[in-house]
Amino acid sequence: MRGLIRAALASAGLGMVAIAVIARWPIAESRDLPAPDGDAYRGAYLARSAGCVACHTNTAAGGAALAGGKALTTPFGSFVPPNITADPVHGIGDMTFAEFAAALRQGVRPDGKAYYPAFPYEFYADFSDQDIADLWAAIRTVPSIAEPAPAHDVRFPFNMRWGLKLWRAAYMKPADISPVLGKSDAWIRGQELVRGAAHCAACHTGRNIFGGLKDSEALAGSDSLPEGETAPSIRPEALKTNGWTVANLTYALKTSVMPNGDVFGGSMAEVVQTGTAFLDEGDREAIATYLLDPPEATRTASGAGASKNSAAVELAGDPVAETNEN
Amino acid sequence: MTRYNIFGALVLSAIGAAALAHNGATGVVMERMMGMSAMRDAMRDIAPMMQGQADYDEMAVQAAAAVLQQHAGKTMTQLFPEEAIPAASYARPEIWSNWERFSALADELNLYAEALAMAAPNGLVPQTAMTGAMNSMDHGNMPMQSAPKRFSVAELMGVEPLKDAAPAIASPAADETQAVGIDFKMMAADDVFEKVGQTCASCHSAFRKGK
Repeated sequence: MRGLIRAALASAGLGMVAIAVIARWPIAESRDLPAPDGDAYRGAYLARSAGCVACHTNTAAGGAALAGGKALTTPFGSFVPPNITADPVHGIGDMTFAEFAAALRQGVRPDGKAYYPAFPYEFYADFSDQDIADLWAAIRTVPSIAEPAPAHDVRFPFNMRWGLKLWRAAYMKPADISPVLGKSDAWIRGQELVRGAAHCAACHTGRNIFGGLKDSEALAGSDSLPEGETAPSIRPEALKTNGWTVANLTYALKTSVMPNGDVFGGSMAEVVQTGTAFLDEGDREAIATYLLDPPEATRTASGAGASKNSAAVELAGDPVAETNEN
Repeated sequence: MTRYNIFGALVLSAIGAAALAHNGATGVVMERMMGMSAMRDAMRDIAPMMQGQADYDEMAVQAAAAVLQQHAGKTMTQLFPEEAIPAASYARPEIWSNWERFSALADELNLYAEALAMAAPNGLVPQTAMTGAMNSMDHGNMPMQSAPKRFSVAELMGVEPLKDAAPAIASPAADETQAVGIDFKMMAADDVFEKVGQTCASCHSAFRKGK
């Protein structure tokens, strides 16, 4: 019996040590980032495309722009998108440029801890330094709000932030947006939006019990969204079966009107009204072009090169078979 | 409409009713589902024209606008008596807790359906722009579509509301087109059609379950 207790204590001790080690595990790449000059218009356009404005503004409750959004209710608890105005205390005004970049691209807070993946930073991993500077400039055009958004209400054990480092190690797949030979500019732009900023997979790809995106179900739909919502498959074959074409999908991303005459509701209606309706027509068409491009037509002869890039070229045109980096 | 068409329509609506009944919908729930389905089909019929994917047919647009008017406004709201929501229904309880907004959206749909009928003769080009375009007709390099819309930084960041946002319907006036300060007779049909879609989407996202 005493041996058993000793073993239990020893493993508890080991567990504590492990937690202490994980808690100190540095996850942000330290980067000495010079801040490029930002273009507020480009940044504002990106903030719209990436859902920053939609998520961090509680429009329904008449909240101020970027001052904190409507809570997302998930099986892990309730996440409140924080105030990201330039207020130095309650917003993000005291972040350095490098900290802002680490937050967006790596999901790491200025204190070195990880953000919850309710903040879809995985999709922003490919943002350039210029993109980040543009966003920074755009955020500074918005009036600062000196009020904090309410705190998250996350249940045990998910309220232990150190656990997020394990989550990152297991599930984080930074958006990989590789150029693909023989593709139109629209398709390439579509890939950038779908797999990056517009983060379609955040809702249209199923998640495992830890909230990690399931590689094998990329864009195949999800039935476990916040508030009991579901998202349909947006793989090319599913879209085509349901009557979608590049023209009517481009149109739906502006108007919410579907080919069968029904009109989006739920969070897709919000995505359109607070997101894709603001995009240039060319960008909506790019998203539709990428989503509808059938996998077999997108394979390019890339030779037997073993480099990561040639593998990416071979697979990147295939949003279905490819593991989902989004 | 020929007798043949009427017979076809009757058969189709009977099939539709049977399908909805099979779904477990009865009474007002079935009635409003049939209304919604009729509007969906009307939208489906003219959407390709509004996208420039099919030839524009003014009569078809008029017919669709008539269907929307038939099912919007009071006709719609009276089919939503406050009651326990049966399983077959997509209605959300917010309809009754936020009745004012729900009925405002139903009225807005009615207004835009009327507007669609008014704008139907214009086709895809607004009246004024069409006249202007006719005058300066230059076959060399005249793009028919207007310049891509650019939002301001303040609009993109959500600091300012959109300039062309759908007008809020405060109080129904005698002449609704004047009440909102827009002359729909001057608008392109597809612009009005977009407003119809936006109204449906606003209502669905707030008051429809699931999708």
